[in-house]
Amino acid sequence: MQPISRRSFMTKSALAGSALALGGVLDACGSSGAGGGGSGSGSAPKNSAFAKANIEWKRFAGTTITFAASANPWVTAIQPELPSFTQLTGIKINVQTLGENEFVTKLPLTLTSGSGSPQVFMVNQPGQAVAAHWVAPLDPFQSNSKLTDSSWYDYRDVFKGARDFATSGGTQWFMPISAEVQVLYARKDLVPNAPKTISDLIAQAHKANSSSIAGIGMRASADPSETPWPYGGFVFTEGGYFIDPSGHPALDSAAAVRALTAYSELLRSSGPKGVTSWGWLQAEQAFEQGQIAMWSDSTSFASTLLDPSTARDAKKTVIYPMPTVHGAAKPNVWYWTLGINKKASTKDQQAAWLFLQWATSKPLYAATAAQTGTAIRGSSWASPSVSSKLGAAAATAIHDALAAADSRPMSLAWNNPKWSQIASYVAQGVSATVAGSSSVKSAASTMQSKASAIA
Amino acid sequence: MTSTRNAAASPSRPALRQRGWRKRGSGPAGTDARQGSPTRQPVDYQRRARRGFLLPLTLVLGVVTIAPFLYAVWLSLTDASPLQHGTHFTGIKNYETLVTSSSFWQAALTTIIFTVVAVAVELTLAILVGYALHRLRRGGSALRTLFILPMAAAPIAVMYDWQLIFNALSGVANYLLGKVGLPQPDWLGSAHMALPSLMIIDIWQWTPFILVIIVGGLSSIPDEIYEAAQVDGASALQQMWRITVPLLRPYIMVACLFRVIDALKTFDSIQVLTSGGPGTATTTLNYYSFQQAINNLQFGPGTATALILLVIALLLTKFLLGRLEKSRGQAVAR
Repeated sequence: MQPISRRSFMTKSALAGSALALGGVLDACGSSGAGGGGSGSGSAPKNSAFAKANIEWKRFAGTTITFAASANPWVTAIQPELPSFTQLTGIKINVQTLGENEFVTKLPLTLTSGSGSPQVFMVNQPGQAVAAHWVAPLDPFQSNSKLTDSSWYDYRDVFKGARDFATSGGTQWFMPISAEVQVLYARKDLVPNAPKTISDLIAQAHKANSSSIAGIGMRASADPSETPWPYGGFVFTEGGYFIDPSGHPALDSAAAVRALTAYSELLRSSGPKGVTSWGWLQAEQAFEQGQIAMWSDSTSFASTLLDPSTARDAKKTVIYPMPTVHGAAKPNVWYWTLGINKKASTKDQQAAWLFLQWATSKPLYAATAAQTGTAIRGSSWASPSVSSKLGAAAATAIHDALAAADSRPMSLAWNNPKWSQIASYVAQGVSATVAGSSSVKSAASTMQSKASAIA
Repeated sequence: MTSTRNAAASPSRPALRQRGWRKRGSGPAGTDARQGSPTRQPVDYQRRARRGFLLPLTLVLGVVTIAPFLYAVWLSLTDASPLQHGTHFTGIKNYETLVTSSSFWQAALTTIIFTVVAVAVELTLAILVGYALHRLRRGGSALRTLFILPMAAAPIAVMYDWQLIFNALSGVANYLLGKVGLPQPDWLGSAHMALPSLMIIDIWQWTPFILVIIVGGLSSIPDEIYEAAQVDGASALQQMWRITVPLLRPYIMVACLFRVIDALKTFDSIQVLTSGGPGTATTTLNYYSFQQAINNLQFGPGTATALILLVIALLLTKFLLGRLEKSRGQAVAR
C-alpha cells in the first residue's frame, strides 16, 4: 500500500534518478525525450519567501514539535531545511524516523496510548486515524486568518485527487505531502511494446517468461500493507471497488473476481518462485537484479530502477502506463499525508500547523520537487528548479498524470475505518490464490464474507 | 536459638540489643505477664531480609505483570477499540466468537503443529549432539561455543538473513540444493513449505538452548555408571537409551518447559518472513492475536486470543512441571 518508503531514495541516486524517471514517463507518453541530466537539488528557499505571507511566524517561538515519520524521500528532502524553519518561527522540530514496517506498527500503539506526542505524524491508515480520533481537523487552522494566509498558501494548487483523499465527511483531516501513481516497469528488450490491455499484459508476461527470468513479479504477500495496493489497480481498472460508494465491501463482485483471476494468473503462470512472500522490497530487488521482466508498482521506484548506479538493467528499463480494460485504466494512487495529533495541546497543534503550512508551501516544494519526484503541488512541476533539472516536457507529463489521477476508488477503501482489517483479508485472499491454496472464487467469497461481517 | 526464658542462660541487656532481641508480652515493661520474667523473641532478620528482598520484585511484578494481566482479562470481556466511542462489557462474546471461528482453530492447529514438531526435533537433536559432545575427548568445548552461536545472534537480524537464505530465486539454500541436483523448493512462498521453513529456523536458533541444558545434565551423570555398563557389555546405543535418557529426564523436562512456552509465542520469524501467509498458512495464535489487536485495533478479540494462548501455556506448564517432579522423584529413587 505505502509504496514510497525507499532506502535508496535517501541516497544521492534520487537526484539523478528523478530525471531518468521522467524519461521513463515520457516513454510511456510516447515521447522519446529523456529527462534533463541535472543532478543537483533545488536551491533552498530563503525565508524572505515565507516572510511575504501574512502569518505571524514567531507566534509560537520556543515550542518543540515532534514529527514521527516513516523513512521517506519527502522527509529526507525537507530535513536539511528544518533549521531555516526554526530560524523563521523559533519552533524546533524533532524528527523521529523509523523504517516503514516499524513505523506503521509503532504509530497506532503510540497514538492509542493517548499521548499528545508526536504532535505531527505521517498517516498510512487515514480511515483508522479519523475513526480513532487520533487526528485534529485541519479546517479550523485553514480558516484561521491569524495562522493561515490562504492566498499565499493556495491549497487549491495541491492536486485535486490528493485534496479529495485528505478530506472525509466534508472535513479536511490530513495534509498531503507526496503523490504516486501505479505504472508498469518493464525490460524493453523483453517487452518492447507497452501492453495495451490486461489480457495483453498476461500474454506478454507469458511470452517474456523463461527459465532465466520470470515474466512478471508483483507484491503477493499476506501483509495488508503490501499486496492490496498494486492489486487495487487491477480491481479499479476492471471497474470494481474494494469498498463501493455505498460503503459496502465489494470483494467478490464480478469486476473483483476478474481482477483476482488476472492477478493470480499473471503470477501463477509467469511469476517468480516465492512471490507470495514478496512485498515491494523483494519485487524491486528482483527487478533490479534482472529476475523479472515486468513489475507493476508505484512511480516512487522509478528513480532507483532507472539509475545505472543502482540498477543493473537501468538502460533497458522502461515505464509503461497501467494496461486498460475497455480502453480505460484506473491505476491505483497513493498520497502520503500528515496529521496533527488531536491529543496535543492547542498551542502545540497551532505550532504544528505552522510547520505543516511551511513544509507543504510552494517555496519548499519548488526547492524539493526535483529531488523527490513526488511533489503534490501542480505549480511545483512548472517551477524553474524542476524544469532545469528534468526538462519542461517531462515535468508537464508527470504533472498531467498526477492531475488526472482518480483517487476515489482508493480513497473509499483507505479512508474506511475498518480498512486495515479488510486489507488483511484482501492480502490473505490474494496470497492464497497466487499460492494455489485457494481458488479465485473461494478466495473472493471468503474475503467478502469476512469483510461484510465487520464492515 | 537460645531461649530467653532460661534465666541462667539469659545474656545481658546490651548483649540482647546487640544481637537483635526485643521485648515481647503484655506485662510490665520487659516482663512476661504469665511468668514475670523478661520475655524476648529473636528478631528474625533472615526472614525480614527475605521479605525485604522480595518486596521490590513483588511490586515490580504487580505493576508490570499482575495489573496488566487483570486489565487484559477485563479487555477480553469488552469491545474495546479506539475506532469507536466508549467501551462496553460484552461478557464472553469475544471468546464465543473466537471458538466458533474457523480462523481461530486453524491458527490453533498451526500453533500446535509448529510447537510440537519444532520442540521435538530440537530435543532430539540436542540430546544426540549433547551426548556426542560429552563423549568427545578433545575439541568439545570449542564445538559447544560454536553450537550456541545462533542463540547469541539478534533475532530480527537473523530473520532477515534467513529471508535471503530462503529466497527461492537467489537464496543460498536453493543455490546449494541446485548444485547437488536436489529439488529447489519454494521455501516461504508455498503454503506447504512455509511452516516447515519457519520450523527449520526455530530449530536452528533454539536447539543450542536445549543443548546447553542437556550438556549440563550429562556432566552430572557419574562416569562410573557408564563404566559399569561397559563392563556389563552394554552398547553405546543401550547406554544412551538405558542410562543417559532416563537420568537426563529432569533436564529434558526443564528444557521442554522453556521451549514449549517460547515456541507458542513465536512471532518474529512470522512477522518478518511470511506475515502469516501464504494465505493464513503460518498464522499462529500469537500472530492472530497481534493481527487483531495491533493491525485491526480490536483489543477485545486480540486480548481474548492472547489469554487463550496463555491458558494453553499454563496447562502445558502444569503438565510439564508435574512430569518434572515425577522425573526428579524417579531420579532420587534410583
